[in-house]
Amino acid sequence: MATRVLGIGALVAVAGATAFALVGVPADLNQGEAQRIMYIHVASAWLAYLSFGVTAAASVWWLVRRDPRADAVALAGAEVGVLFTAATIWAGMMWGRPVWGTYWQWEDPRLTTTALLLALYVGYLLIRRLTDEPARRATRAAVVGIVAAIDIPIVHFSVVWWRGLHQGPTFMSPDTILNPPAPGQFVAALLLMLGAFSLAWLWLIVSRYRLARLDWEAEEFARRGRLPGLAAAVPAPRP
Amino acid sequence: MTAVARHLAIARAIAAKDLRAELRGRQAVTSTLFLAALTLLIFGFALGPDRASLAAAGPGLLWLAVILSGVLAVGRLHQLEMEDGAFELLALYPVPRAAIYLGKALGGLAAMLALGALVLPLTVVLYALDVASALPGLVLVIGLGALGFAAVGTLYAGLTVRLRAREVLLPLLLLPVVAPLLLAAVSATASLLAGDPFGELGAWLQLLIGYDLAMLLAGGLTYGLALEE
Amino acid sequence: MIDLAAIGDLAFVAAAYAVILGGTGLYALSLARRLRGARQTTSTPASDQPRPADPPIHPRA
Repeated sequence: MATRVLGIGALVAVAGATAFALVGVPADLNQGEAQRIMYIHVASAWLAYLSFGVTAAASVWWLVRRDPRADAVALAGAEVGVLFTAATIWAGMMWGRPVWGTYWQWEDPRLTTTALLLALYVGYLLIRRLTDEPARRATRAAVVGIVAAIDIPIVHFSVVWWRGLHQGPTFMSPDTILNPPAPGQFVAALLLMLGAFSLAWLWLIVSRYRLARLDWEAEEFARRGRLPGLAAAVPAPRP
Repeated sequence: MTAVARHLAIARAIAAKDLRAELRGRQAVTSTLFLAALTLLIFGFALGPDRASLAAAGPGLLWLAVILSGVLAVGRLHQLEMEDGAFELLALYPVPRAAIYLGKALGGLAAMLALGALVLPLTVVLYALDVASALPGLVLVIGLGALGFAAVGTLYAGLTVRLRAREVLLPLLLLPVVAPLLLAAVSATASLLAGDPFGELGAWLQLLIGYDLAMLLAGGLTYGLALEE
Repeated sequence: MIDLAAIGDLAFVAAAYAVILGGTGLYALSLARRLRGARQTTSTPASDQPRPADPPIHPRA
């Protein structure tokens, strides 16, 4: 199956990108070995926000069309998003400790915005967990997903302005760390990691989507003793 | 009657009903006022007794008290109605959903303004804040913050009122979403009290207004979905 | 001195990569396992059991 190829490809790509990031690329002059964390931190962040966008778009799709596939996409995006958001924060903390001296920096807009992103996602998953009926669950979650999507740009601006007024030292400031002067090899390592992670992300999203569709089918069967009319998206079980 | 006038009339009727119930002893919001005052007091125990550091923390504590009590207030405005069985009736009325949202949000706004009106003088007293010169600006900031919180709080309260875990779920959903509102309100308040040394006040006010508009729009469009069964 | 610092930093690098790749891997494995289980549930005919009777006419349906 195509997914299997994707999965294996993702595995190989991630292994290769990691190897390159850990031993292939030289250490940074200023930050030393710790700078290697940047590759996985930025890649995770990119995919966390992408997942978020997927959930938001799928939420709108559900509200407009009430298509169960939309809800499955939204759920996949949210769960995979939590994974990558947590990864971003963890990598940020592991990077911050050697470079800044602390695990947390309130002036780093990406770190604080991502922390709020995690809180928003967790709330999304929680309200899903606490609603039994599938259609109502999808609608409630969709509202939360859309409000969260509206909120995130506002959060970003507020935190960036917040930081701008309390300028830290520019040498080790979050800006130079997140946007370092980039020798070609560093850029290559980052792009490689980004590509590899994107493949993995795709596999995770497709798999979680499939699982969500199967769970929905099973739920509907249990509730009504029959399959819903919109089962066209997933082949019905053989009688 | 134009559509807008009709919306406003319905909204006013719903808000008036909430006000009347409150005055007749429903205790949805009035108990949260006491909670806000108590919160300010125990903040003092937690962070005091150095007056300088308390004064520096003043704006943050003011808004924390307002928001933490506010979460309860908007929740109870829906919850008590639900317990009386009136919420389901409200959902059945053949009126535009946006009008219902507006009415409930007005009630929420009144609650938040009441909290602000109480908390502001208390922080002056307890944390020795000097607000005299900044008072008009502070009233504006409190008004904008109250509006934004009421807008999204009313939506989420309606969304969670039927869930058994609503007492935990409402703050869990609301606090991350209002984080930028909190940030902007505290920054604006602190800036006003300091005389706006960096000229940042305009930016924070813009953020507050943008937030309010965005959340009012979101609420107006999706509250009906929260009502539907 | 510099060597010690580098070793210390490497610990953080290792922690970052190990936890993230390990966690993602575990999640992927869990997905794969749940998918296999769910597919079996919805596609395997329960041939050794009597077919469920038709559900009663639901008043709302």
